[in-house]
Amino acid sequence: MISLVEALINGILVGGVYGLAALGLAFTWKVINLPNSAQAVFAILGAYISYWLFVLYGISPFFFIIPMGILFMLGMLIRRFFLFRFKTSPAMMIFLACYVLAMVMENLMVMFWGTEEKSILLSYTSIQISGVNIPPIRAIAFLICLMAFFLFDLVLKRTFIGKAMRAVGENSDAAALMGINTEFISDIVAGIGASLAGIAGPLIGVMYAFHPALQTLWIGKMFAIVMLGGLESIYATLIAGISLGILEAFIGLFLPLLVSHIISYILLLLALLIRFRR
Amino acid sequence: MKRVASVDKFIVYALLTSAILMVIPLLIRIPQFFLSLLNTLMIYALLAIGWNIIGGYLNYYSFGHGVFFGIGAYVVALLMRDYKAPPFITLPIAILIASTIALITGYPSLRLRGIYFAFSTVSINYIFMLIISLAPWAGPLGVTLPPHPFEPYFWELVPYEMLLIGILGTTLLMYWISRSKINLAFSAIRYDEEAAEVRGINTTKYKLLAFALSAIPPAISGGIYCYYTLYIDPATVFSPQLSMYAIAMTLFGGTGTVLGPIIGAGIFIIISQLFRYSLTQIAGLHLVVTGAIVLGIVSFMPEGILGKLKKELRVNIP
Repeated sequence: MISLVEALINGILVGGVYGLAALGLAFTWKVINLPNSAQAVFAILGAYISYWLFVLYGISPFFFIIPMGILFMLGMLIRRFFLFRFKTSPAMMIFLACYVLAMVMENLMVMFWGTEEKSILLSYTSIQISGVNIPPIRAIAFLICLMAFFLFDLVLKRTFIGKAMRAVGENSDAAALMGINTEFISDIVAGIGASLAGIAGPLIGVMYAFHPALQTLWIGKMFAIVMLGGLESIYATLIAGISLGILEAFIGLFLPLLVSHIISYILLLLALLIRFRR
Repeated sequence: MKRVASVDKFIVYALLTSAILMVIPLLIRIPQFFLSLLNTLMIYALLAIGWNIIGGYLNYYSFGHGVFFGIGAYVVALLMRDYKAPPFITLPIAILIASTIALITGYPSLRLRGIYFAFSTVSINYIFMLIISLAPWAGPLGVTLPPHPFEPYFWELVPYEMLLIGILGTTLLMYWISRSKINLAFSAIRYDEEAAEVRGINTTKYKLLAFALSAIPPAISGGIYCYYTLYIDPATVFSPQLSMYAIAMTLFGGTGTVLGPIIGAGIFIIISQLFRYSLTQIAGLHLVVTGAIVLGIVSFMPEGILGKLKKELRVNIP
């Protein structure tokens, strides 16, 4: 019984991070039609950045400004100098281009940092509530994710640039006619999408061991969450992430590890067949 | 003088080229390295030919087309391990099973469009990887086959001849299709599926036909790959990397053309093997360079080499 409750709590806590990791993907896909399959590589890169900051300079992995800033610049530059070519091409080609980009970045990371697993080791004392263990790092990560979701929602709904982004997402041509510099806003959107990976990445690094090739695993999870939650609401992504987390935690209790890795793909297939079948 | 009308030039050339390629290594001993390079090239070429049917002719980008490669490889491996069946029997069975699986998985997933179809094929690829890994008769460690009884030179040569026959057969099949009424339906679906449906084309039927056909070359390729390497495991033969390469090669050569995938695979494999052996000092560098090339193709030449030639020189290459 206790193990079931623990699995449930673990699933919820991990699911928050899943949701945040997928949020950047859903955001760029919705607003500038960029199904960025390099999002997982951005997240792994964020994990590496915070790992090196932690190991070399002792900077806490929860100090997100640096990975966020670096990834914001990276996402913006990639959009500005490479992905703008695909503005009018079908989503398929953009997906393909990002996929290959992800491959290149993955192998660049292999070149610089090798294929061995890294992990950011933090020690906190475990919390116990009536016999149920709550992993403290995951709890902190979950709270950070909730905060990030809330802040992101606030930026999108309450600020001027958020309004511009929503306008571009709704109708890019009309937004351009209203005097919005859609190119600039698109770059900013790509940057923000990448910088969300700058929060999710360090959290992934804190919770799990990571290495560059893990991006294929994470991108499957991200797409499954986005397809499950849809592109219309931010909090739907969070809920979809938490559902995937719970599902994986329960499957991890009873079935081999491989099943819980592949379950996101099965979920993705089901979501697609239910939602987009003609 | 009466002209021989029925025999096409293309068919003659194809038969001649493959006959020459088939005979040369029987007469002269070609270095083993070169032969194995050609084998790799042709394995990927078959994969690309298969992808081209669904991705090039119908514009349904299947990102998990390697699944049929894996299925072909596993059918051949299991039949060889358990019943000692020779490739003449196992390859047709592999083709049959792969096509049937294509029909079954294609029926729901071909109702999706564009990027959603791509995701569904990736998922199917991973699901088959899972099934094979968990199955008691296969397992995650793969299948190891007993070595061939003949001398090492023929280990390379026999798969070489089989692959050549496979490529010749599928290319002629594709040539026939590109000349037949089926291709008209394919182009109609590629340009505007709704319009095709309104005009009375049974789009479901043609999409399923294309998907089933597109499973054949990868199944042959996978079967021969297994016969060639004598060891397969689910992580290799169901790798999504394979589908990626097939897409890159077809885009390189030219989508929706008969010869495009073969040319693309040739150039691509030669370049990537060149980098692989010259850039050995840093791990991962050759993949970076290969990926950069693919990025260049995708962004600057999406119509491929043959498409470019057709447009610039106005020559008609099938």
